[in-house]
This record gives sequence, C-alpha cells and structure tokens, in this order.
Amino acid sequence: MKYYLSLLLFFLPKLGFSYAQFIAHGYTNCATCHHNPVGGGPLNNYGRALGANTISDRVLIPRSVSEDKLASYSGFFFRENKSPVQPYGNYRGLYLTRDFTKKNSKSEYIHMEAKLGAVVLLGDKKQWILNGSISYNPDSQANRITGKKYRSREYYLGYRSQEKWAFYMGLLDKPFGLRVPDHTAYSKALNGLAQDDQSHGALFSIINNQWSFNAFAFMGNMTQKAGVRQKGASIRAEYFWGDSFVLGGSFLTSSSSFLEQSLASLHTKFSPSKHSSIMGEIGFGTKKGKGRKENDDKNTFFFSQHHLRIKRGLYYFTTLEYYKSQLNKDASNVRFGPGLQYFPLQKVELRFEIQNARSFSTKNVTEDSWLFLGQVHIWL
Amino acid sequence: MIKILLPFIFIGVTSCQDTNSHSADDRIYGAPSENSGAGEVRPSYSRARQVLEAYCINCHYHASWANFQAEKTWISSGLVVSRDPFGSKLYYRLEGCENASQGGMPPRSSGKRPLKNEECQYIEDWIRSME
Repeated sequence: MKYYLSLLLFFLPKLGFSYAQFIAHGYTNCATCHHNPVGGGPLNNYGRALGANTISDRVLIPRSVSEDKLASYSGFFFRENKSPVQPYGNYRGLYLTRDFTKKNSKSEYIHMEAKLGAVVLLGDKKQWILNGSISYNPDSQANRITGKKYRSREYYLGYRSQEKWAFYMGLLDKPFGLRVPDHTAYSKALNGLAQDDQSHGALFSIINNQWSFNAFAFMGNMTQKAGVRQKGASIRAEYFWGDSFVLGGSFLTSSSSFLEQSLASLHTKFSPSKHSSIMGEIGFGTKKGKGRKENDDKNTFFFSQHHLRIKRGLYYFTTLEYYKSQLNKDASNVRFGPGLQYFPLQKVELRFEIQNARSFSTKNVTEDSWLFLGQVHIWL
Repeated sequence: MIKILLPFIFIGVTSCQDTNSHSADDRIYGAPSENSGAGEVRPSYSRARQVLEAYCINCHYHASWANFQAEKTWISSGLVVSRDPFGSKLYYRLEGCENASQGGMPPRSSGKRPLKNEECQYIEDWIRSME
C-alpha cells in the first residue's frame, strides 16, 4: 500500500499541476493534481505526492528516505492520505517593499491567507467530492474595509466520472485564461478574476489526453448586494500537443445592474526544453457602464512568464505584463521583473521577486515604480 | 450525509466574502443618483467621492480603492488623516491643488488633467469635516 501513490505517479496520464509553469515537467492541465478540475484549491493525493517527490528539493531529506516514502507521507501534517476525509491547510504571507530604490520606501508584511479546510470523498469510487474551507485574512483589502477577518474563497460539491468529465456546484473560480497564482497580474486584477472574485455557479468540465473544456455558468457572489452581482458564463478550452505544448482560448461574458463585461483571450504554455516553460496570454476586454459612461473600458492585456529550473526545487522566472486600459488613448502600463521560486522541501514554497512598473504614453513616461516581494507559502 | 454537509453549509453561509472587484460597480458604473443600499452618504463625501472616481480610482486598482466605500476605510488605509487634509497622502499627492505639497497625481500619462480648484476643495472639505 505504501507504494500506492508512487504507482499512481507512474500510471496516471500526465495532465496537470496548479502552477501552469509545471508544463516544464510534462503536466499540461490542472485536473490531475487538484480536486477542482480548473485548478487551485486543495491538492489531491497525486498532487501532494508530486509536490513531495518531483517539485520540491530534497536537500534536507536523508538519502535513506526513498522518493516513494516521501510521496506516501505527503498528506495532512506528513501523514498518509488514506481516509476519505482529507483536511488541508494553507498559509501565504507576503513581505512587500514599495519603491525600495528610494530613501522613504516602506515595507509591510501581509498575511494573505491562513486557510483550513477539508475534502470529503464519497461514493464507492470516491467520485463525489465535497470541499469547504475557511481562511483567516486580516490583511486583505476587502477585510480591511468590512472589518471581517475570516473568509471562505471556495466550497463546492463535485462529481467526477471515470470517463473524465466532471460537474461541480458551489463557490468557484471562473475558468479563464492561464491559471497562474499571481492574482495581481493585470490580466487577473483588472478583469474581475482576482483572489476574491469567486462566484456561485455550476461548472462542467471535460478532460482527456488531447483537450479539455470547461464551462461555468455563474450567478455572482450571493452574499453581495444583488445589484452588483455579475451573472454570466465563462468557457475555457485547451488543446494539448503531447505533454509539452498547450494552446487555449477563453471567453467570458457577464453583467449586473450596473456593468456589462466581456473578455476574450488566447493563451499558450509550452516547454521548449527539459524543465523550462514559457507561458503567454493575450486578451481583450470591454466594460460598459449602464449608468455612467466615463469609466467604460476597451482594454487589452498581455501576460507572459518564463521559468527555468536551476536545480530540483529551484526555479528562476521572469514576468512581463502589458495593459492598455483604453484602446483609444495612448496610455499603457508595463510591468516586468525577475524572480526566484524555491521549494526547499515538500509543503514549503519561497518566492522572491522584483517588479518594475511604468506607465507610458507618446508624450510622457512615469517614474520607475519598484516593488520587492518575498513570499512564503506553506501547505499542510 | 447530512452530518457531513451541515458544516460545509455553515461555512458557506457564515463566512463567504461579500466584497470583491465588483463591489463598487454601482458607484463607478451606475447612474449618479443610483445607490444600491450602501447607506446614507454625507454630502461632503459624496462630492469628494465623485472626484476620486474621476481621477484616482480607475488606476489604483492594486490598492482596491474602488472598494473603499466607507469613509473610515480611507483612514484605516493610511491614505487619509482625519481633519488633516494637507497631511493626508490622498491630498498632498494631488496635482493642481494649491496646498498639495508633492503633487504628481494623476500622472500626465494617464491622460487626465490636473484637478481644478473646485475639485481640490471638495477633497479638502471632506477630509476636514471627518469625525
């Protein structure tokens, strides 16, 4: 039994990991490692095992501990995941320094998320998936406004058939574009796809070795004021060429009593050489106010990220982003920067990143804005 | 089954967030007279809010300024010092305001013009009238 997870690793088709960059390891889709077929949220047994014996460094692990052993003890608090009730924990903290090139730069530490949750697998083939979580986020912008300290960003009841289709209902992320963890990316933050933008709805998903298709019909966040709930649908389709090249497209349309929004994008991710990856997404969006018109947008956005594995567990990456909020004006924003991502052991991720941002127009360029971001991510 | 479901339902009902990227859409995209139940707004804040929406909020998405609806949120964010407009970053970074010590906002590249005196006064009056 202790080789169960390693056998899974060997026999299961290589389909995914939450961080889209892990196409560098032959994983083209999120569904293999996550209970949610569109990625994010709790890892399944396979994802936990992969994090232990493929993604993370083992410099702190004695040589006598085999990869199989590492994988088999990747459950909650390094236990084996045998029970149909699978608790999980997740912590993300951010050390942020703004304008670090200036004397009056300011730093702060932000508890982005301290989450506890549980997945319950039901049915004779564990085909029913019940997931719920609650997180402590005293520093999130939204909680600073409302005074709340706890949030739930995801809960659902899902069914996954053995034929690789799935149906989920609950509070879920909208499937759209590249599934990257950078919630401040222009492509996410400016399009209603950020860390707090989950919506209640129903998700239908088909995944096989050559393509995937996700359709999500959503009714907005039901705890919000009714008038601002965005109701609509998003679809994302991807085609896989082998285990190293993906081409995808997404479309989203939604509206509330105040705003009509639509988004479309094309994305790709591929592995040009062993353990390296390139991801890119280019898209277009419109926002039309139903009352005021002065804040209407016709925007375009671009996101790209390149990862290169230096050694097991350690990745160098560069990010380049572009955003033009109004196509009929010449102002645009560019952000780029290098970073390091290190998984010193399973369940621990460290990330260091420098970001430079500027706003451009044909007549002017703003001063450089420099950010240093140091992140710690622990999952249990 | 019910015993398992109940905790999840409880979590969903009691702790789900009610604030996200669209929380301020009524103010940003709705007709000026529309208000989706955010409560009574002081006239001085209402005037200042219109200036902030026109000049600031559309670009300051990173700081989620669009979600700053309650007046106290501007204070807790550190951008506003109650009753001290000239010591408030929100004010002293404004471009075009006579008493703004730093200026620079909105940047020229944004395509927005410097504030008019009347608009500066709205911000100043609002901060000065805070409790």
